[in-house]
Amino acid sequence: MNKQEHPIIQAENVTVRFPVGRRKTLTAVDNVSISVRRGETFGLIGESGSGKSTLGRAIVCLERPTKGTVLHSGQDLHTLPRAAMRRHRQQYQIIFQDPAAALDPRMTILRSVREPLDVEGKSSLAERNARALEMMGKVGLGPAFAGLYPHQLSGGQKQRACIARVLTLQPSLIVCDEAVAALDVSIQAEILNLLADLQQEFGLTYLFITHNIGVVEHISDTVAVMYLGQIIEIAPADRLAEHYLHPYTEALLSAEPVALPTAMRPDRRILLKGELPSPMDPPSGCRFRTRCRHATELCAAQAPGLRELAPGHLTACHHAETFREKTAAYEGVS
Amino acid sequence: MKKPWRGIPWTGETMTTRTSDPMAKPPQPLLDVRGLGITFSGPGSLVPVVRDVSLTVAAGESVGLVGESGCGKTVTGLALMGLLPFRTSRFDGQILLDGENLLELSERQWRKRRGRRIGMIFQEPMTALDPVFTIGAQIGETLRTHFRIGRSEARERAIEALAQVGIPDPATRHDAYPHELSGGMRQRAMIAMTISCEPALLIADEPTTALDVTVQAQIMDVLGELSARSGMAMLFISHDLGLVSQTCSRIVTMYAGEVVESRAADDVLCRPRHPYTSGLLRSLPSFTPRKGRLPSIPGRVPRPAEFPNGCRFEGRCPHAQQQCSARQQLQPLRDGGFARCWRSEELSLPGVLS
Amino acid sequence: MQNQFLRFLLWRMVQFLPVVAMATLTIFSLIQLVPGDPAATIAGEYATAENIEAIRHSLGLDRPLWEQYGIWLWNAAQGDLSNSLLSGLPVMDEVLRRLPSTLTIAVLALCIAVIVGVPLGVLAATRADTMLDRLVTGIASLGVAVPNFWLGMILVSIFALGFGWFPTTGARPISEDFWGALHHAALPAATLATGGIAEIARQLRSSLIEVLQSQYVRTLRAKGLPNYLILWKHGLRNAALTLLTVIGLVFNHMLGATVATEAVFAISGTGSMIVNAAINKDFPVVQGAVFVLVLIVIVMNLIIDLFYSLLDPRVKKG
Repeated sequence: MNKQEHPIIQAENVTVRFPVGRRKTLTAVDNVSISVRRGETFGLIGESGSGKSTLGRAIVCLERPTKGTVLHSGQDLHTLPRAAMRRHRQQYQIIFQDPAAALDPRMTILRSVREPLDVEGKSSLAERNARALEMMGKVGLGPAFAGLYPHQLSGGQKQRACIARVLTLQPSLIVCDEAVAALDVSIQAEILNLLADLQQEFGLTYLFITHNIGVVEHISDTVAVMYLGQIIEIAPADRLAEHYLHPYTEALLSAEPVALPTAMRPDRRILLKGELPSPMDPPSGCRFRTRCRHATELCAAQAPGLRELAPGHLTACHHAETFREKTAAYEGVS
Repeated sequence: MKKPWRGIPWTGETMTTRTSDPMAKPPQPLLDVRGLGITFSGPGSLVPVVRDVSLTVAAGESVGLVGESGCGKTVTGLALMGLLPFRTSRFDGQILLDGENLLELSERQWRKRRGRRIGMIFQEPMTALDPVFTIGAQIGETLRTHFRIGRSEARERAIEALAQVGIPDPATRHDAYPHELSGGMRQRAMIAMTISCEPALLIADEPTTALDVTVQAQIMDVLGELSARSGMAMLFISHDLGLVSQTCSRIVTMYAGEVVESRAADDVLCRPRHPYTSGLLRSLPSFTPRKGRLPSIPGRVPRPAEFPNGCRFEGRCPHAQQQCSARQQLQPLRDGGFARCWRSEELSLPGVLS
Repeated sequence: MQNQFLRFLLWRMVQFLPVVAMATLTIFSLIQLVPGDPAATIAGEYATAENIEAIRHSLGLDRPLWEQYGIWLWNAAQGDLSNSLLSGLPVMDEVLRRLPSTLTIAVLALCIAVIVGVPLGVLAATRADTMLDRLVTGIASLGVAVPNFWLGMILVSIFALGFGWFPTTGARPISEDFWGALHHAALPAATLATGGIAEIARQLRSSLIEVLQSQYVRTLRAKGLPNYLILWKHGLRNAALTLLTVIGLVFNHMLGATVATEAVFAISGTGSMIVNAAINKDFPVVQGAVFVLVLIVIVMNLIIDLFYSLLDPRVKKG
């Protein structure tokens, strides 16, 4: 098959476990399968402990799956020899929430941006500088920033520098792990616009990991919702807000504060009861059942698999077809 | 449930001054900040971080204080609590709590109101509690600082406070150490500690920013219920306009150390009167069609040492004119509230609806 | 709970065994480098070569070194520290006879260091970046830098020879004359304490400053807690871990430093015992004394570990 016909990322039954203490293991990602199409923005949403960052790291080969495979354009990079793997891996880059931690405080911005090329060591210094400056230009950092140090930059500018740095390697996919979470709304808007521009220009694919539903809905084509290491719903981004099919998605959506005047604000708020169960000892059956008001005996007995209820819309809930009516009924009573 | 301490009157020095005023004025707000200025003195330099901040909070009212980082929200909150280092901070204006100017009080007098009349919760529940004392010991200690009660009574009240914030099995959690609780539970414990002395005003500085959204919803629910039940007023400091608009009836926007707009929440959302507030609202992703270009405010908040003399937003404002280089005053608006922009009545700025 | 605690204790003991072995092995190897021959010393000036050889054989000194060490270690593990090469007396008796003087000085020095060092550290921390703070930290740096024996001589010349408040030399057994023993130990202990005072004050200062700038101290101030409670209850309790660590290090250091101090004050403690024995290459004595001192250090560390888990709920036992 031609390389272009494969999805850029095809994760199949990926499980990532970490040893915790002497005998326990933590299953951060449990049997997750996703498929990311070339050129799309795939949103991954979940709260802390959902395993979304671990999945992101597994996709850029920073974490080796305990079970399952991640195919990059149809190829499992972990089966390649070291040098070939490193060469292939360059196409899959990641940026993090805290740009300050990603930049060496004693290096100028130009050196930081150039660093991946220095490591690669294929071109002359002049070429590397030119390439770094070009990428800085693409993210809106003019040549005046080249000689500055990270502490002289604002949070937004530092994140731009981080983006320029991963761009130097001409990646085809960038994992954005909470890349705008620490920024003020106005700066966040600028960075989101920038990411959209870069996607247009370079044909990038994004895996966008965030806890912010507003952001993920805005920029994604497909959204996957994670809870306790599993994907519980995957939907086209424009469908999720209205046509969600999982009670956890419903709770997430309802918890998201919206800046609307009193009269227009949705007045139903679903408060989840209790706390997130320990990922070391997840509940039997459906993992969300301990906090779900629609849970039945079936949910404890049998883990629901992902079912496709509408084109491209998958959910892992036994009661996906009926729970929304019940929610409406609850509101009628209270 | 009977609460034996609820009837204990607050025996502050101002009881007489409050009642001695013979003129029947309109009810004075609980908190009345007038022209607060804060200047930090460093070695050989004075940095004015906050200027001319005026805001009021009535008893039982929830007021939101919003703005980007570096706008002086937190510093203002800390100043209201008297938590800024006195050796290196200079204050102008007045902070009137129950009509008495906190800035004129001695450190000892102010301390007696801290935690008792005015309490504060912070952003990081992970580090805001002393790691080597149990939750209950820390609540009990607060109670015993402000009330003459014994250990067993302090324990009872601490457990009751933990129950009030929705901590399951409060008697067991009373003896737990902070590291044994999750982030959400720690923030609840922090709230329990702060409300145990039933303050009239709670300053909440980004109390849910470090928490997940479903946990945030739980915490906001607790705070809303507490203030509804006990009539506790709240000054809610946050960068999250959505959260503030859900919680507060009035919104005060700060920019570069100044209050730039102060109005009823719904008015601010629908018809902001200051270009900065409008810009903040418009940059929220929810108000732009999916995949559309998000409006943003160009530039960034100036550093305190570089605050311009005129309108501090002038450099980033799409509506700036020549007159903007003059210093702007916080002016009353025709439809209520205040804005610090001379064009506020003539401009029709987009809010969340347009 | 009790069971778990005992297991923890036992486990720590097992962990210390290699430390003991390493310490004594190092000492044993070092002694071999000292010039001189104990057999020749014992035989006296007019001994014949055969005489010396006979003595050497009877003491086992003609065996390979590792064998000598092995035999010694095997006996030590059974509580027999063997006999002095020179006097022929059991080393254990000699060490136990001299240990009280050394321990008196060291413990008294530790008490002085804590009693003086803690308030100094607190003072410096609460007045951080003032003249007072700079004075305290300045003196503290001086205290660390000043050599013990030199300070000892200065103290003797002022307080013993000048004012005549303290005896210049010697020691009294603490079991017979408690106050007399303390009186004799005062100057050597003060000498020994200076470094400790400085170290405790410095470390406590920096640890306390960190605590006082923490978020939870801001919370404590926000709830209206008086400053003295914030400092002495919460501040010290949180700085206690650092303090404890420093106290342990200081005590270990003091035990070692008694060697020089005992020489200055002519005290017949374990320190001077080690020095004399080392000069004569009387290795069973040196090793026996070091062995006992290492054991004391280990017990001290164990006590400190126990305090850790008492003071900080985050430190789990075992």
